[in-house]
Amino acid sequence: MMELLRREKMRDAWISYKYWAINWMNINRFFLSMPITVLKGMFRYPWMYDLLKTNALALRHAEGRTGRQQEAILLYFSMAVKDVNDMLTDALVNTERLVLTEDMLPPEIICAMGLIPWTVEIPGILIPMMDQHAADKYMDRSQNEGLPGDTCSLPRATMGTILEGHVPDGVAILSTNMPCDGGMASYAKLQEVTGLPTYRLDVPYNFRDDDAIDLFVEDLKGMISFLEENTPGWMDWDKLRRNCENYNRLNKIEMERFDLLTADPPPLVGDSVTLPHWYCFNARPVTMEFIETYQRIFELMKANYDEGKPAIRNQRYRALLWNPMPSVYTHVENWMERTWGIGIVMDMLTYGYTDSLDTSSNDAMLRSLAKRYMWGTMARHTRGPVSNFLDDIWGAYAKFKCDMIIMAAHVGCKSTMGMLGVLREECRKRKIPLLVFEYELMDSRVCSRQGIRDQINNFMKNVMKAEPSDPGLLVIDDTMAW
Amino acid sequence: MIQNDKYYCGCDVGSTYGKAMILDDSGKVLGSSIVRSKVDPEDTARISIAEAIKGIPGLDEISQFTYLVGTGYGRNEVPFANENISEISCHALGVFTCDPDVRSIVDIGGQDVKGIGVADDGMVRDFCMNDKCAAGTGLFFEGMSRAFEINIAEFSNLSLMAKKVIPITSQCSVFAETEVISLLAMKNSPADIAAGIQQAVAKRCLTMLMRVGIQEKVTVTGGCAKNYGLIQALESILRTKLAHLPIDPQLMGALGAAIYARRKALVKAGSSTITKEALSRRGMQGTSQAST
Repeated sequence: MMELLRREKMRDAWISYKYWAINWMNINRFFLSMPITVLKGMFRYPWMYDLLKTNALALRHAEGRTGRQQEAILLYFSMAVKDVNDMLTDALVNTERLVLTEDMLPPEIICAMGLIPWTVEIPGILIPMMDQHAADKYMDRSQNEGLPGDTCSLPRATMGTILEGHVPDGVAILSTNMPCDGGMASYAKLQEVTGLPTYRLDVPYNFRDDDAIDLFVEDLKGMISFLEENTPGWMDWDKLRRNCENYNRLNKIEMERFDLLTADPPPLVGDSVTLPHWYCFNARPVTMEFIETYQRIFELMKANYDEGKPAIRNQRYRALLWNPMPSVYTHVENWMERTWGIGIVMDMLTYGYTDSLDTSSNDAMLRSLAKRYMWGTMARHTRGPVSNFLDDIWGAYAKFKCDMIIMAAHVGCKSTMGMLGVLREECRKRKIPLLVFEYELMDSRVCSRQGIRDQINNFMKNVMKAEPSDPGLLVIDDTMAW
Repeated sequence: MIQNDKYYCGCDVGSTYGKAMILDDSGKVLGSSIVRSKVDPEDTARISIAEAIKGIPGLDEISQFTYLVGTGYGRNEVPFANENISEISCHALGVFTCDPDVRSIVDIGGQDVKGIGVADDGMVRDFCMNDKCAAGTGLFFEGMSRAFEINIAEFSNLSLMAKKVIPITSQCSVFAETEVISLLAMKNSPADIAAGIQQAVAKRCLTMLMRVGIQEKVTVTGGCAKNYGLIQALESILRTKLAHLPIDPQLMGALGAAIYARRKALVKAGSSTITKEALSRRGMQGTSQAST
């Protein structure tokens, strides 16, 4: 047994080292491919320095994990590092085709037009993940310029990057009201600062309504016309079809993943499930490379399932996580696993649109895409009637056989905070344990990592009557850590 | 006099006061204390225990305790405690032991306000806490009474003499203090302003309770439970009479901790009065019928 454990530990260490080396190799390759341009880029976009902390982030996510659960998250990070390098290349050298877009807008159409989407929120989202205090200067800047301090920290950080001039040059701006109206303010400022032509997609919240879908299809057509008029891009329907088919391939894997996640014990949990989904489905266009990596992560999951092997040792709870995890503490799920045996089997970001895209005609494709965009995660939860928010929670809770709900209450998100009371009441009625922890998405000065842990510790001890798997992890001094 | 050979202690190391409660083998309260907190939580714990054991025959020092449970914000700094348990659980159990019908608690401590829902077995059903802002806490009341240049007891009595309530709009303790000073400078009745402060805090407590779901009976624990002006304001807002506890409500955390200490010791000793199976049925610790 000891020998087996030793071999397992050696394998984990090897896997960890392997991906650490691959990531550095890819970062170095990116630098060496155009050293002067990258150096210039680092002067113009200082947030690029923070991306060098990627390996530290990956190791925080992998820390204490073992086997395929560890490998899956490291595999994801290696894919993300490679892709971020491509993204940076575009931002540095392909600006004549760069379209500045909002982070919830899927990129299939833009890519099919031969354009390159640059998510304006990317620095705001990525750098607090690398270093919890890296986005502070951007949030302070926008606050000093008059943005209220209780605004969601995502638009606050984004606005800061715009005001500092740290957004790449582009040819046009695409703004949407997803996931909420708060972000639209950033784009008004971006338009003012850059003077670029801007198109605002108005995504209806009644996503099940056929008339609303028709309306949004027209809006998408308007977006295509706008891009054809204002950028060098033109609509290539065959390319769009290929993009949609790629999406369908990814979605097929996703449906199989969903099936495996209902198993007991779950074969993968937490951010090993969430982050690959978030990146491949929402953040970037679906490429064959993504599909292959997604398939590899799925195979890790499947292998655990076939062997009846749990993702984590001592798992005691199957939890549903609602709302995004804090960007300043994305490895909180790892901590929850190791400290309390909480395995997050499903979460809001992953529980997305599940239908395949119809590629039978151009109109069918547009209509399918319209539905997918309207069903966007958060976009369909933070707007419209409360049933938009609650129905998905009950659906995911039942489907994935959860025994508790964890509500990540982002204090900057007025929409979800408003619905929290209803959720509490409903959970009480249904006798579902509801752990609510408050946090600020990008700002650990509002609620520190330990502040988040304290809230979870209090709930687990007092309400769940649980004993920690590792009491040494209850309090960790990481206020100033990356 | 018959001397006990087993003593159980609960020590609640709060931010402003340290409290200790000592039980005998049958669960009877032998002694208790409330002392002002020192800078070092360990000192607070030692002093409060030393005060509580005064006059208990045969009990002279901490090492004589069969089991000692630490609770409160400084619980992790009590090196001689056998175990530390969250004050949320301790308050729930302390109150439940005093009045098993209470289902909702507002605990107003020195540095935070908590709403606690109590289950039928005395365990915590749900809770929420406000520990980011001083408004509504004991420290808030200290600041307010300072503005009136009186002590908290006088402040409480003052609010009870109000003819009307002047609403205090701010919920931030710093802004509230400046607002109160302005209202005093404008020659408003101090009693009416004091009543406004009580009402503002009561509304804050109501929000806490609503988060965990208000179920009767409701009671208040912590040092601020002795602020009768606040109790009156809370009763008015909740439209119900608050349950009166037979033991000083400031001692509920220490009492709960002492009951936990007794139970833990009995479990460890394999007591026939509380079997381990019975305890596991009750959650982790079980509920003995400790007489207090």
